[in-house]
Parts: sequence; C-alpha cells; structure tokens
Amino acid sequence: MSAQPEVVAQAVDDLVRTVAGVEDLYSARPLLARAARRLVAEDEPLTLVQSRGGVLEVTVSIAVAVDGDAAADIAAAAAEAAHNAVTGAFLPEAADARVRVRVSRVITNDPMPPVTDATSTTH
Amino acid sequence: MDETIGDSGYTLEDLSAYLDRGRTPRIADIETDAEARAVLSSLERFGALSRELVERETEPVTPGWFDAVMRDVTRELRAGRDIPLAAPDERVEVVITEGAIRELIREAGDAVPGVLVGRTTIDGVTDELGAEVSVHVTISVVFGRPLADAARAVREAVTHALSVHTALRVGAVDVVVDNIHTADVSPSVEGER
Amino acid sequence: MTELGGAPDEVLAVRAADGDAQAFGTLVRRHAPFLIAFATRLTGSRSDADDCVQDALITAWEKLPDLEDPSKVRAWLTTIVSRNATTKMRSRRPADPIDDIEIESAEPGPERSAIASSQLDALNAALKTLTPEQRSVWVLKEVGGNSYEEIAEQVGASVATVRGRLARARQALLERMEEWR
Repeated sequence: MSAQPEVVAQAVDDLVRTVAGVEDLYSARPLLARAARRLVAEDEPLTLVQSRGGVLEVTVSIAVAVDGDAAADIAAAAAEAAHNAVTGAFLPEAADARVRVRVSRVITNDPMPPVTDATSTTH
Repeated sequence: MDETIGDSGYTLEDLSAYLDRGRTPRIADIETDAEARAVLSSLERFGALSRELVERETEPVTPGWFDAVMRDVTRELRAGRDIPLAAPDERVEVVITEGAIRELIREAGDAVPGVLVGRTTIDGVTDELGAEVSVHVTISVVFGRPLADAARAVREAVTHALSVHTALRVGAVDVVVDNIHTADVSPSVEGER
Repeated sequence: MTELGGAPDEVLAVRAADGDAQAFGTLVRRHAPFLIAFATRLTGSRSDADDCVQDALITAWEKLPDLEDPSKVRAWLTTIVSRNATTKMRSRRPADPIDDIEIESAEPGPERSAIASSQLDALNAALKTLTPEQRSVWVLKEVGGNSYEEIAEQVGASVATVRGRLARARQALLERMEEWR
C-alpha cells in the first residue's frame, strides 16, 4: 500500500502551516510547470512530493515571519514538520525521504501603519 | 494640402513635420509669418486640449480591476536562485531565495527613517553555505535628511539583517544615494504624474 | 509595509524590477487611470481598453528588469498600451462596429466640473469627424507621445504614410475648429 504523492503533499502542507513563524506556503513547483497546471487544478497542495529512484523528495516553499527568531531556525522547524508528515504516511520510502525547505519570503516586524493609509495593497 | 500657408512658402504638411521636430532648427520664414505662426499655435493648442480630454476621463481603478492585475503579477515573485541557508542534517536542505534576500535588504533599508530603497544587487553568491558576498544598494532619501548619515544607517541595518537571517558572510555593503524625494502626506490617488 | 505613495516613479520601477509587488501596485494605481483613458480614446471601447491595459501591465511586470531608464516608466507603459491597442484595432473585422457612443455617454460625476469647457467639447466633436486611421495617429502622437517611427511600427504603415495622415488630421481639425469659432 502506498499513499498518493498528493496525499503526502497535503499532509506536509497542513503540518508545516502549524509551525510557529511559518506565515504562508507557496507553490513549490517550478514556474513553467505552475503556469501550465494552474489552468487545470486550482486545489492542488502547494508542497511538491516526487519519487526518484525509490526515494521521496519533498519540496516546501514558505514565507516566514521573523520576530526575534532567525529565518533559518523557523525553516529548520518546518523541515522537521515536513519530515514528520512524510514518515506519518507510513510509506516505505519515507524513512530516507529528502526534504528541501525553500524560504521564499521573510517578513520582518512591521511598524504600525499610519491611520490615513488608504493604499492597502493585496499580497 | 498643397497650398502654402501665408507667405511662408511652406505647406501644412511641412508645418506639421516642423512642429513635430520641436520647431528646431528654427525656420525664419515660418516663424516670421503671422499666419504660419497662428496655425502652429492652433495645432499646439489642439494637442494640449486632446491631452486634457484624456485627463478628464481618468478615474481611479476599482479594487476588483486592481486585484485581477495583481493576482497575475504576484504569482511569480522573482525568486531567483536558491541560496543555502542551513544544513541541519544530510536529508534536509534549507535554502532561501535571492528574491527573499532582496526583500530583506529592502525592508531593512526602508525601516531607516526617511529612506526608500531602490535597487538591490548581491555579488558573490555561490552554492556553498556561508559564501562571502558584497551588497550594493541604491536609496532615495527624504529631502532634508543628511545623506551620509542615512547611508551609514542603511549599511548597518542591511548588514545586521543579513547576518541574522541568512548564512551569508557580508563583506562590503555599498550604499549609493541616487534620488531625493519629498515627504508624502497623502496616499497616491487618481492619475498623478 | 513601507508607505510608497510619495515615491518617485524611478524608485518604484527599480523596486518592482527587483520583485517588490507592492511597488508595482503603486505604479499601477498611479498610471492605470491615464492608460485606460488613453486606450479608450484610441480604441473607442472601454472594455477593449481594459483588456489592453491589463495585458500591458502583466507584460510590464515581466519586462521591467529590462527597462534601461526607470525614470521613463510611464512613457514605456504608454508605448506597450499603444501597441496592444493598435493590434486589437487591426484584428477587428471590418464589420465590427467601433462604439464611439461609449465615450460620449460617460456621465459626468458629481466630482467633475459642472461647466464643460466649450473648447474641449469642440475638439472632442472635431476628433469624431476624423477617419479612424487619422484619429489613431493623432492620439498616438499627441496623447501617447510616440515618435513617427513608433507609430509607423504600431499601425503597420510607413513613416511617410504616418506623416501624411497626421497632416491630414491636422488639416481637418483646423477646418472644423475654424468653422465652429
């Protein structure tokens, strides 16, 4: 029995989001693949899980909000969470899974925005 | 269209091309002829009226329109290369994108009062953890703020941010002031130039 | 977030080239209103104009790193919009009606001046008497600020043709505006 890579990827998404300091997840797919797929599947997990030569490779792309903690520490915690999510799926390949955490954004502490600020931009 | 204007000896097509060359080099026969000058000033006025017609029709973009544009834009955040950030153990690779580092630099510089960061460049990035890099930043400083002081504060802020949040060893941080701006009182609205 | 409302175009353009989406958003808010009005004037259709400007802004985000003089970002955006608009107009089938009525029926809002300038209205009416080709080169030159070469490339004609069309447009405007004085 082996779980679909998508199920594993969703488990990683869910668990990594709970890590303190992880603000958001982004799609871990390379840009070209992303552009083609967005026309087909809007609800895909963001984490990328691939099986290469019997070894699972997991890539997670995160935004971290730092408030005293270093970005590297939050990313390391995210890597551990990702690994836990993978081994939790009880796949034979899980034990040797390789995890790659990509910090795509670092959000530092914002000062209070001014009251008159009407240029709220969406991110 | 082949008639010459006044006594200038030039046709309307000639005057039209002359106008579009910015009326240089000056042609005396045109500039000293009252009718030719009147034609040119009418044409200039029509141009100004046309621009005003368009300005009159501007209105701020709706939030829905704005969001639709930005959705497509922010899909690709100009990540750049992956740069090693940490190596907790052999099965785990932790990287940070060039785009994230640039944003770090921008935010560190923006946090200095009166400073807006412009362009950020990082030289010396490699695949190794802890590469030594040099950083180049251009900034705009608010009018009235001492420039050297602002540059120094930015250098310190950038060095600090990179040392805390990346594994890079920061060599030189070059800060160049290439712009001055006035303090903004109100947010950007309507089609301001 | 950094307050960018007062930042010069040049600063916004280099930040956006480096990946700052907020800076790009500020450029959009600042310039899109003019670009939409310009494209509407050019194509005669507000919805076509919206498409042209949205596409242009997405192209602009991709190509901003290639812009050599960031202080000229507004002119650069205008050129991209011109190109999209002229392409759209060229791909219209001859049977497609160009809906000039869309421009006329824009209701003046309460914030607009109640007294419309008679000069502006006169020019507006005069522009409607031009042929579509004449009106295009006029708007591209006088509002878009394009050179003869840029216009020629965009409308698919020679520089000589553009020069001639512009002169005939000016002739027609002079005659109309003189009649109505």
